[in-house]
Amino acid sequence: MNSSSQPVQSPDGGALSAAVVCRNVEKSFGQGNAVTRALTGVNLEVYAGEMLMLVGPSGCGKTTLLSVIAGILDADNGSVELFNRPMGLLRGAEKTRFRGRFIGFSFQQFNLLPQLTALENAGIPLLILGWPRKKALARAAELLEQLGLADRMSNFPKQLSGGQQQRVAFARALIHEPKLVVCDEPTSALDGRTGEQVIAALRQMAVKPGRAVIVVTHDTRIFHFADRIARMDDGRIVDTGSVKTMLAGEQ
Amino acid sequence: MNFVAMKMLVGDRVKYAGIIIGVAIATFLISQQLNIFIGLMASTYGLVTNISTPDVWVTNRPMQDVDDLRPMSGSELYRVKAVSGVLWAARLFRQTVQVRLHSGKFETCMLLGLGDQSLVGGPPALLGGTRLRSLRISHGIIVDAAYAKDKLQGIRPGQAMQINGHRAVVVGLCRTALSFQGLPLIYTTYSRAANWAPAQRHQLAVILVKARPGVNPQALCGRIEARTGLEAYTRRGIMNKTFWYYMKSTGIPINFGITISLGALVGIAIAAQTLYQFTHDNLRYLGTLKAMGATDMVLARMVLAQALLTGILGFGIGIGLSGGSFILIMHFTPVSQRLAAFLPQVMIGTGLGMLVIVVAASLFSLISVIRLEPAVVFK
Repeated sequence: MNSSSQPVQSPDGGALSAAVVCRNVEKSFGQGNAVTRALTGVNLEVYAGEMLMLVGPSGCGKTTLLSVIAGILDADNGSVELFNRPMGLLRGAEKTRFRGRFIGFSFQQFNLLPQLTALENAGIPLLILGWPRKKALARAAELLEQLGLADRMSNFPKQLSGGQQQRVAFARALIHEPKLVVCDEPTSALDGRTGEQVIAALRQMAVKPGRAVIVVTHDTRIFHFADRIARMDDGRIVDTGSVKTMLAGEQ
Repeated sequence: MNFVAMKMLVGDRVKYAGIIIGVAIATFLISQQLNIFIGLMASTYGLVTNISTPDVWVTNRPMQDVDDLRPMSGSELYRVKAVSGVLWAARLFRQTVQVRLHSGKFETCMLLGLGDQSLVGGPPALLGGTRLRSLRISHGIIVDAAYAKDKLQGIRPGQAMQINGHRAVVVGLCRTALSFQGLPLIYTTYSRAANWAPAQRHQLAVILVKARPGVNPQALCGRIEARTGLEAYTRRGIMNKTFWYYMKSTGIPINFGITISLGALVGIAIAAQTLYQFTHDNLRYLGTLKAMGATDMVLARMVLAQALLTGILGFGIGIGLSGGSFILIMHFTPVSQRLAAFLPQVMIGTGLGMLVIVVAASLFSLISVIRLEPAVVFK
């Protein structure tokens, strides 16, 4: 098993650069006797060009860690760097704009706007970045076509299957070419076969040199799509390693 | 992002319609009741509106409002004429009389007698080729066309009626502003009116005065009061005195105030609550946009754009309903009940009021958007 600080190897054997670096990250919720320590000193590196799966039992802090890494929750202690940029130094609107420019999101419940078509939903990040609507929708159409949704672009979310909605959510997460893509339980609302199909599509579309992908999941059937797996328990990373080493360790 | 805001709004048809209906109801209730209130209050000084020529009105004291005129001696006219700055002064007779129509029916009317020579104080608009000097024809009277059709049983020029037992012949038609009492106005000469009306000790109701060029009417009022002991008002002054008498001494402002407030409250409650609920129901999606990089400013612009769109549409529908009700009132109610007005000032005022309401409601809902933790999207 690798330690969390050891970089993975690129296919040609070279070290990959760290896209995300977490050092002693702590996060608590509540006050006094009701305080819950969600993260208790997390150390983690995620490398550009890899897909890392964050796994562990319910309540171990996976989603909290994902939120801290993505800059939508602030860590109480410790530091998070994204592409050498300390997130702790970003404040308010600056942090929000940073998220819009550099991070792509895929949510467990997809969170597609029900009043917008698949095409319009996929184009939202570009609209947030100020792209003209026509140009943003044209780019969204290209991406949805690549994800096999050419004939579903004008459908509203409720007219799409779970798998199709997840593909639209992936299109939305990738359309602005983010450097980091975070996915929260992308297969939890899908049956096994569809789950594998959409994660294969995500892997094919999202994993690129210079971009890191973090997937929070419980779904062991999709582990083999990961480059590395980080196992969490009780608010900290307990293991990281390749799929083979992790599964071998379990056996 | 306005595109996304509009799609979110229009896509939720039930709430979209609810907000528009709320704004429309509030607009309708506020503007319609305000228009009726203003129309009613304007009618209180209808006599002044209908006699537009003079700069100064001189009355016996004390006077509460323009319908509370105590006749004075005819010799007062000469005392007023003697005041410096008076270009001319004319008598005006005003008394309610019983009119017997050709069917035998009696109708109470307001008889106005204009100076025999000058005919000062005639109606503001003469209709169908009517000339004021026709009043010099024996038994001649001019009546309001709308009242002639309605309360005076369709009487036309050339036809006769009896005023207190005296024969009166319609020699022309006019259009007048509605008075608070809702009585048909009958114009004739001063001497004839004094002769027809039931006898009183004094007959001179008002002295109408024109100021010399360059003379300030307000200053002239002061001089007339000082020299004669009578009360003198500018045109605006007598309107204001009458208006404030009704405001202070009747239940009209309180009752209309309650109606307007209740109407506004109901409409505002519907509009503001639905607008707030709409934003609240979309918090998850607004949180999603926030997580994806939409700043608070962007979200605020979206919510305001939604509020403005619904506000403009609701206001348009509400004002349309208000205008429609005004048209209905003017077409289907007796002339004496047509107290409604349809004023651009009310339209603008109501529009600004509704703008404040929808913007306030959206700003209120924005508090929850700004406080929103984007982490809600991972829950």
